[in-house]
Amino acid sequence: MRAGQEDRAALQDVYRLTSAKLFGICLRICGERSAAEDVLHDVYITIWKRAGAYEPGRASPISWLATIARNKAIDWVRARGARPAHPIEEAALVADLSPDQREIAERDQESQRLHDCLDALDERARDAIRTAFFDGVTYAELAERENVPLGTMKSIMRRGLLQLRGCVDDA
Amino acid sequence: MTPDAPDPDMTAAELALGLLDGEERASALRRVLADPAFAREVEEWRQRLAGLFDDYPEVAAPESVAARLAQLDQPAAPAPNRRTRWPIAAMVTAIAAMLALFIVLRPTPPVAVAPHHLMVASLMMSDKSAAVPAMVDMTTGEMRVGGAAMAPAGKTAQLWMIGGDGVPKPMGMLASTGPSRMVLPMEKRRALKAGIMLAVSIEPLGGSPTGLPTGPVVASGKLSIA
Repeated sequence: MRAGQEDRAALQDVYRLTSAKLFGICLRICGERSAAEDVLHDVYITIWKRAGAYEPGRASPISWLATIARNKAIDWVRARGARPAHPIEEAALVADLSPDQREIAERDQESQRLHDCLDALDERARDAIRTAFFDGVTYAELAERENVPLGTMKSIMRRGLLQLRGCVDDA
Repeated sequence: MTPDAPDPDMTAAELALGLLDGEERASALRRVLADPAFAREVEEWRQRLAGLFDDYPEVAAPESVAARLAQLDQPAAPAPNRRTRWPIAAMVTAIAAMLALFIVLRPTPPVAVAPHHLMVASLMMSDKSAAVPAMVDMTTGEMRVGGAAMAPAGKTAQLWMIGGDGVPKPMGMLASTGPSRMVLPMEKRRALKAGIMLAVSIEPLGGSPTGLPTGPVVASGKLSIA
């Protein structure tokens, strides 16, 4: 049973180091605290069961965990079928996502390049990509929020993504 | 591009972002299974966009979730069809260790420091009993390897890197107990890149007399960008 205890201790370490970031992701996408807590729990169960699927060559551990959290939160929102009518309860939901100086100082080179390339896009494309990423919304939801036809939304997004890829991969 | 040109095909990015739903999503998911090049594109988009995770604000997570996790049972036996399934214990430990190193080495504000470029590897023990984390700070050349008693008494564990030419090059001796720390000279640092294999062999005290591994390889793993 000793090995099991060590595993649990390691999982607690992972939780201690990453849960604030992952909870921030779940809360932002789910829009309500109790759901975000359930999704967060589910995320760590997944990590526990699927730690063997982590391939160090493919992504940093933080990105791997964050991707699991984002996907689980999106799954939860879509399984429920609709977003809450009054999602803005939590500070994190209304928080300005523009990063502060400390966050900028902590960015690594790849992240900095991505941010620079996003800044180089026109405003509509940049906003569309950021909203899609942070809130985990579909094209249909995005078009409704931005109050533009679906086809226009797709066009803005696709051209923005193409330009973004060119910029990021070129650097 | 003129306004009338058709939209570029960005399906991989759209799937990675989660923009698709219904039949469009189902169709893109089928394509992931059927088309390895498309699957790779989706993965590349995930990595390309990963920097945006930095911008999610952190929110203190509830203790209740940690308490529920403390009650977990051992995971079920791994699915037999995965070729490179690593033991859960080793992997969770390795992730924890990498994250710890990662966070410790982040520059603390308000001092503006050039971002430290880290490379990491999990050195899997040949008997699959554990994975030992290894990390190189490419800015300072400092290399750390997690503690693991690999060498029997009277022997030493030596670390090697194996690049594209397939020839092992010595990196240093590992401590007999506890974590190891060494500083790599610029010449060795320059040769390090993602995909390079690190390996540990058992050698006579003082290291291999030939400049190449002479004893059994007890752990190995590929280097990747943290």
